[in-house]
Amino acid sequence: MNTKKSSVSVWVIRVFLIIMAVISIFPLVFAILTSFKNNQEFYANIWALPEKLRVENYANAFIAGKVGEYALNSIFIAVVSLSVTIVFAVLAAYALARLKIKGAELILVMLILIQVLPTESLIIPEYMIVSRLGLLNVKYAAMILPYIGWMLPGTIIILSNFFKTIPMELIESARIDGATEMTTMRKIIVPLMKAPVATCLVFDFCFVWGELMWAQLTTLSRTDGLPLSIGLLNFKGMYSTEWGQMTAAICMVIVPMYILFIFTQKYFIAGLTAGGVKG
Amino acid sequence: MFCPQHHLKIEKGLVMKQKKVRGYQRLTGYLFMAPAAIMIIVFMIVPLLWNVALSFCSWNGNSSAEFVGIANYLSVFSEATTLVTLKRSVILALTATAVSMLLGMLYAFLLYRLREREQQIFRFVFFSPAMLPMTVTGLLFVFVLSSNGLLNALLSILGLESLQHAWLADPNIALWVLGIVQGWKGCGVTMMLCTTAILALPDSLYECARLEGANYWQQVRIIMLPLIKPTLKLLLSMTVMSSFKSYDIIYAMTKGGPGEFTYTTPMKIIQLGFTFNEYGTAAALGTVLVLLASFFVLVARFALRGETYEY
Repeated sequence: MNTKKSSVSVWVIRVFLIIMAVISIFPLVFAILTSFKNNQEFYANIWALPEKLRVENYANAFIAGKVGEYALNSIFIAVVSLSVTIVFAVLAAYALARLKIKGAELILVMLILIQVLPTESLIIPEYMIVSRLGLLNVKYAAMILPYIGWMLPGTIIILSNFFKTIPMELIESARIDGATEMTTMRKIIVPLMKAPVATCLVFDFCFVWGELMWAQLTTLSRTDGLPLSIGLLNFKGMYSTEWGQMTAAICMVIVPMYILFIFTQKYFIAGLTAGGVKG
Repeated sequence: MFCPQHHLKIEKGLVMKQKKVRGYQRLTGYLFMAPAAIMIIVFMIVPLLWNVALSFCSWNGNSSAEFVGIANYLSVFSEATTLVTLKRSVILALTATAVSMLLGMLYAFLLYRLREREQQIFRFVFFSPAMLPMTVTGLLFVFVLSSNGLLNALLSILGLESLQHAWLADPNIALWVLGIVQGWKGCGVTMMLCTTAILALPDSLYECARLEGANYWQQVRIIMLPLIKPTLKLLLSMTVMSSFKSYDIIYAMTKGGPGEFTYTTPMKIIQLGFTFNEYGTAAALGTVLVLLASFFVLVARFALRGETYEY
């Protein structure tokens, strides 16, 4: 609202939102507190501050609970699949938006349709394909390749919406100066696309970092190469849970994500706004 | 001097050149698209079509598949334990959608009244759950909702012991609780896209309403809601669809328990396929889930039908 007067109603809104924000953050703050406690302390008084900073919870979760190993696996999977996805998607989106492909609009509509379908509807044949290609025996590959295929449609849609906002004249002038399509991309397009690429990176990263169903299926017979999403669940016991270690593990996953998110937020929100999401 | 013939020649040459350039561009275009196209075809389109084909076959994973017509679909609809997972999926999805849409829109409209700086902080807080992996959200809420967890402790401090529940172990409410958690995680996206849509509306639209003495709530109802309807329609479709993907949250929080009271269709698909080796039935159930989700998307779009306004 452009009249930002501090009326009573605005204060009511502010108080309400603050309460909601506290509720939203509360579990997280509490998880951080609990991550320094042991189970006796936790059950004795859930609200109490930890007696001392039991850093061993982190050490245990990291080494005995293998969070370190899982995290490395997840980082490897994320880095490889995200870089390939972004490069492929940039090329394809540029082609669809700016290189006069026949039926480009139709292709984009199809991509949207595929994108919204639940993964459950293709998981059985997907497994057969991966197993026939022999990918199940290759560490990480059975996860990385399908992830790339699944992330591409959404990434292409966001990026091609962005490419449509680049004025054609800019591209034409580069072409007139004798630039090849590759040079045009490198010199003109790539520098302009920080924000939309950041948007895609954050979305795709969240998907890869948290995906569980497929990761579980493809690592059923393996003990190595497990990602964090599976590893974390090991902390939740069937009958008893070591709360301190579990929350320590949660913190180790969340804190880097929050840091990443704080740093990319500027681009990210600009990217969402510029993406021009319209029904 | 003007020479028509010469002129024509040049024009022809230009057209030819343009055509050549365009052809070259198109070729580059296909080349640029090829890597992505291969990945999408191999890992999405082929499995999708294969799934439909498989749903009409009987196949145990080893012998060759045998065409059985609609037998798999019949067994999906005649098997009570399968049918009830569909019902649970629908309950979960509708709860999650309602929570996510209402809370997200509420945040968006309320935030709009605040100063820019405040908006940014709140937006960050409310959006951040959307970024977290479902397993982490799930475990965090196991921690909040378990019988000796945070929520029950909070209730006992407030003297509301009567409201304490074993939130995830009570068959009557577990599914709804899961739906609320999923909706809470999703509301950030709703808020973000609504905010984007609201910011795109020109200020001049409100002038008149304000001069007429309309309060903020009236402005929301009469001006903003109808104008951001296209965004809402898109959001509602997206949310409904994604709310049916419930494997991760269920697995992280209850693994289908207590008993089988939160066992939803995605879990059942995996069980049918990978535990019982009934791949055909699993594929049929997958197709049914997509059709069911699409049906609710259509209902949602129908509910928000009507003219859209230009501004």
